[in-house]
Amino acid sequence: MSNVIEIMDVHKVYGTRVKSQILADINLGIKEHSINSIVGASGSGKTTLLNIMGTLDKPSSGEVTVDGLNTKSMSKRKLAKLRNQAVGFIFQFHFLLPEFNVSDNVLMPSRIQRNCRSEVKERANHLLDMLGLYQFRRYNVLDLSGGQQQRVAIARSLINNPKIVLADEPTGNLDSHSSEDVYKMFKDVNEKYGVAFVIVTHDKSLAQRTGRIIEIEDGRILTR
Amino acid sequence: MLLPLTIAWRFLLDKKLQTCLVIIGIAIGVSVQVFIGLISQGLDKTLVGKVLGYTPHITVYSNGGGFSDWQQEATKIRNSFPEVKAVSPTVDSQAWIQLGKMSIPVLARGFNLVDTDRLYNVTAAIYEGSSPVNDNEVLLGKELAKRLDAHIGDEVVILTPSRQTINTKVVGLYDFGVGKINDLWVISNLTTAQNLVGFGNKVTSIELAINEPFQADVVSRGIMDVLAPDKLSVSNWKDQNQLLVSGIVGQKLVTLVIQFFILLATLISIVNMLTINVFQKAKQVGILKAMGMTDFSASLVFFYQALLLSIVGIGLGLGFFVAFLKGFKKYIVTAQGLPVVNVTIDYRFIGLSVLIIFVASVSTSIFPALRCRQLNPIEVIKNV
Repeated sequence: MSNVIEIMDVHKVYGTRVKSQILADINLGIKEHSINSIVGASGSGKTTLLNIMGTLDKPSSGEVTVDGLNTKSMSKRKLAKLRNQAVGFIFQFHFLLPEFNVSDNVLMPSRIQRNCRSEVKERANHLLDMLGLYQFRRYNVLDLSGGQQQRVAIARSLINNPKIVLADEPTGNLDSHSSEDVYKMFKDVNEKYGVAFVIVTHDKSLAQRTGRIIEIEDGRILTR
Repeated sequence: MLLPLTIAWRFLLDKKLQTCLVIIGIAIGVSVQVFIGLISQGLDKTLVGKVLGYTPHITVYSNGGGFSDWQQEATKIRNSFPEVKAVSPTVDSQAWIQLGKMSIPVLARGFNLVDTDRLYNVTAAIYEGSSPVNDNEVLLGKELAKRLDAHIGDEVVILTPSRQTINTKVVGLYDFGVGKINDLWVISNLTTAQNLVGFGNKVTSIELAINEPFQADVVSRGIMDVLAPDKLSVSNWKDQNQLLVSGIVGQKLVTLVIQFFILLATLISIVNMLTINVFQKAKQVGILKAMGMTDFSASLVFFYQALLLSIVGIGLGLGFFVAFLKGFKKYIVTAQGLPVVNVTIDYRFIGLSVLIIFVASVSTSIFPALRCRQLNPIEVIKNV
């Protein structure tokens, strides 16, 4: 299986006068259809690594390839398009748009790529159904529980049929029951659609259930 | 293009009170802007109308006391100055009018009525009888006729200070709506007045009306250059009413300053609202960018917000303006129940004002759009 994301010799330094090395010498490949977790202490560079994988952040040096495309010299516009088409994001605080209802939130990435075809709406309904939210599709997202909101975020991350979903502490704000549900959903989606997952987590039990654990400490990968 | 518009609309709806306040701000700005502008225009017209109602914009006098070649001069003015809309040769003389034992001082005015109608519209002011087309026929003003107890068909005698006398017949009564003029002017044709003065074919002056009364000084200088300056002198209403002119200019300046600051205040309120909105919606903008929305599309959200606010604000502002105008016409009136200032709806002015406010309001989105462009999704996600 080929890599959906490849990271080569990536370093990340923040600050200009006082420099702090966040990531050093990162070489990593994320295989298609795989489920991976990134674990490490707070401040170890997990989220920075995830953001670099998702092209939200740029490495200070090194190269990142997403879906076969080297992102080093890509314009902001092309990066935005790549993110929209190949990558799905799930955040700890789900970041739904409270001005829109559940269905609109799920459809948002497809609307960004100006895809309003009926198949997309059908896919949104199917995802909502799969995640047990179909009956809430007209609800405002603020009227849902934390677990339900996170499920909406999962559906949103999958609407454009991405190659990979990057999830930053997706269960960090949920109780253990909801966390279990969320992981099951990741597993289902991975099996059904073949989407790869990279999950940043503090939750050791969640990490142990993924196919691969990437341990990071002080900006360096310990185990791959 | 549709998604940024939809998001803009939802963002505005989400902050209803804030949106309403800005729309009301724009509406007040627009309505006051247009209303003050039209009141200012109306005030100019009313003042100028009152001053110039029965005063020529420009008067050409002969230095020798009378023009013998006035037809030539009149033709020259007509041909050289298209902005001159009326050229009226006039013979004026102080005189007395006598009916029975009653004798009243008057100003005998001889007009070429076809030309003068463009200046004073004498024909329209005749409320009884007809124009003095023939020699030795006169028109009397309403008040003068009342004082003399004169009626149509009465014979009246007109005497000049040089003891010239002519017998005339009253053929009509006029009312210019200005008591002093109705009491003073005795109007005849040119020949009658020329006979009275003993002037032959001469006229005492040529009175002119121009399309733009405020250009009277410029046009009069031009006329002076074209006509023989050694034989003629030219005066204009602006030189004769300098205090009034400086008052009008001052009022226009003050109006402009007020309009400028109203526009500025309106624009600042929109910029403020949109800039605050960028901060309020930073999380949403950041997540949209993370999901692949381009900087340009994200900036468009704030452009569309400014556009929507401007359209609704301007629409409401025009509604406010109509209400202000109706209230002004109904409640700000003279003792006779007439509006203090005659405000005429100048669609060109309204259109131009609306266009300026619209362009300026929409342009305000540049600042929040730039700020939005700089928003980095990482910073937004980190700072939750």
